[in-house]
Amino acid sequence: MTSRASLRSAWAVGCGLWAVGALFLAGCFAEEIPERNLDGQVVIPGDLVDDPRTIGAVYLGVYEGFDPDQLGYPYPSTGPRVGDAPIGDALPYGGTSVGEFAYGCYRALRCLMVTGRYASLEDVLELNPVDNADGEPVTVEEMYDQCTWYYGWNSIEEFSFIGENRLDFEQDDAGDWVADFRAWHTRIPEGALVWGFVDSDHTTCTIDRGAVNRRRSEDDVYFLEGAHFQDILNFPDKYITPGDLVTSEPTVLEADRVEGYQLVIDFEME
Amino acid sequence: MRHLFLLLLLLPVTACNYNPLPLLQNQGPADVRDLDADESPPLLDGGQFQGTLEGSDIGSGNYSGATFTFTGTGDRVCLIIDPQTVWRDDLQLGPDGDIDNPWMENYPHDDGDLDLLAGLASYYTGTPGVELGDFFGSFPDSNGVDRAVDLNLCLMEDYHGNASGTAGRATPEWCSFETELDVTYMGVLRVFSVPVDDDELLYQLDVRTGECPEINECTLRGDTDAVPAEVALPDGFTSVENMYCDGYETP
Repeated sequence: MTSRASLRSAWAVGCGLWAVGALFLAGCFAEEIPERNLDGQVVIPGDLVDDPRTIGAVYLGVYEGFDPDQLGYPYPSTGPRVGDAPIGDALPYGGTSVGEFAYGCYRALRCLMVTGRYASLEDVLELNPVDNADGEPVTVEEMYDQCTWYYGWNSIEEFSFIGENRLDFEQDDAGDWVADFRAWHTRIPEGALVWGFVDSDHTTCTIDRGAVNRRRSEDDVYFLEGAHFQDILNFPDKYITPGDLVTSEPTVLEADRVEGYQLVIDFEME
Repeated sequence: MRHLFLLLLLLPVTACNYNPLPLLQNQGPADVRDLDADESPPLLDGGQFQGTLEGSDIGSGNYSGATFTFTGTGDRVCLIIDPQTVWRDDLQLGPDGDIDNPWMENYPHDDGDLDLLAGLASYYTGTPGVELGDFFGSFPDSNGVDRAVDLNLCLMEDYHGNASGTAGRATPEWCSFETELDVTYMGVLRVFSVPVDDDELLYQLDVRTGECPEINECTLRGDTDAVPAEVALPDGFTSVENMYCDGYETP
C-alpha cells in the first residue's frame, strides 16, 4: 500500500509539473506576426480649414508606393486594373480613419455626423440644422430627448458623438489642425508610404449601410443608420471629390519605427 | 482517481469532435467537369446549356465544378448561370387538395448554389476536368511583400454596390465584361452546395454577346427537376418553373 501511495503521489506531481510546463510553453510561443500598430499625427494646414468641426472623416492608408501621374493628382500606386474597374486596387497594407460616421438621432443627419468634431449638441445643430415635424428648427432640448429615446442614453456624457474630451483635432502653435492616429495591425515594410485624404463632403458614407434602426420610427419606416463604404482605402479615387483634401507628399516608413510619424494632408482637390 | 484522470485527458478530445455536415457539404471526391469535352459544349451565343454537378468536398478544399472556354470577340460578353431551383419541384397536390399552391413554396432541399468566375484562361489556376481553380495570383511588390491579386473578371455587385458579391442559394449569378479579340477566356462554375434531396445540382448556363439583360429566375429556364409523372399541375403546365414564370399567360 505504501509503495502504491507513493506511486500515486509521484504521478500527481508529474502531472502537475507537466501542466505548469505546458503553461510556460504556451506563453513563450512566438507568432511572428508582421502586422504592427502604427502611430502618428495627421496635420491639416490651418489655412485650408477655419473651423475644425467641418473636417470630414480622415482616411489614411499604408501603401506600397506613390503615383501622382496616373490620375493627375497625388495618389498611391495601384495594382492591375481588373475588368471594368476604372482604376486598379491601391492594395493598402492597412490603415485607419480619424473620425467615423455616427447616427445623429435624426434620419436627416445620416452620413453628416463625424465623431470627434463636435463638443456639444449646440455645435451639432449649428452646423447641421434639422427641422422637427412642425417644420421648426430642432432645439438642443429636442435633440437631447430624441437621442435619449433612440439610443436609450441617460445623460449627456453618454452621447458618444459629442464631448470636449472626444474632439480629435487641436490647433498647434503654427495654427495647423493636428490629430493623433493609430493604424491597427498593419504591415509596415520599410519604404512603404502613408497617404491619406479628408472626405469633406461625406461621399464615403452611404445611407444603405450601417445598423438597422434601433427604435421603431413614428412613420414605421425601416431604415439603416448609414455607414462608410468598405473599399475606401482600396479605391480612394471613387470617393475623392472637389473640395476634399489629399496628401501631396506621403510619409515614408522607416525600418523598425512604428510611431512618431506625421502625415500632412494639404492638397485641395478642384 | 485513475478514471478521473483519464476523463480529464479525454476532455479536450471531445471538444474536437464536431460534425460540420449540418453547415457544409463534404462530399467526395470532387466532381470536376470539362464542358469543352461535352458533345454539345456551351458556346458564345450558342443558346442555353444544361448541366449537372455533384457536391464539393468543401472541408478538404476540393470544389466540384465545371469549366468552359470561349474566344473573345472584342465586344462585351454576358455570362449567366441559374442553379436549381427555388420552387418545390417534387411536391404534389394531395388528393384532398388541402395544400394551397404547394409548388410555389420555397423548398430548400432541392436548391443548390453555384458561384460564377471568369477570366483570361492563361490566369486560371486549375486543370479542366481534374481540379477546380480560380484566378488568384500573387506577386512580390517593390517593398518585398507578397501580394495577392484576384484577376477574376466576373464581378457581381453586392447589395452595397461593392464588387465580387455572390448570389445565394438557387439564385442566378451573372456578369458582363469586355473581351479582347481572339483571346481565350475561361468560365468557371464552382459548386457551393447541391440539393440534399438527390445530391445532384441541375443548372442552366448561357454565354451571350453584349451587356446582360435584367435577370431573374425566369431568364434561364430548366433549372428544375422534372415534375413526377403522378403530379398534375394546373392549367396544363408541365413545369413548376414555367407555371411560375408564365402563370399569368396562357400555357
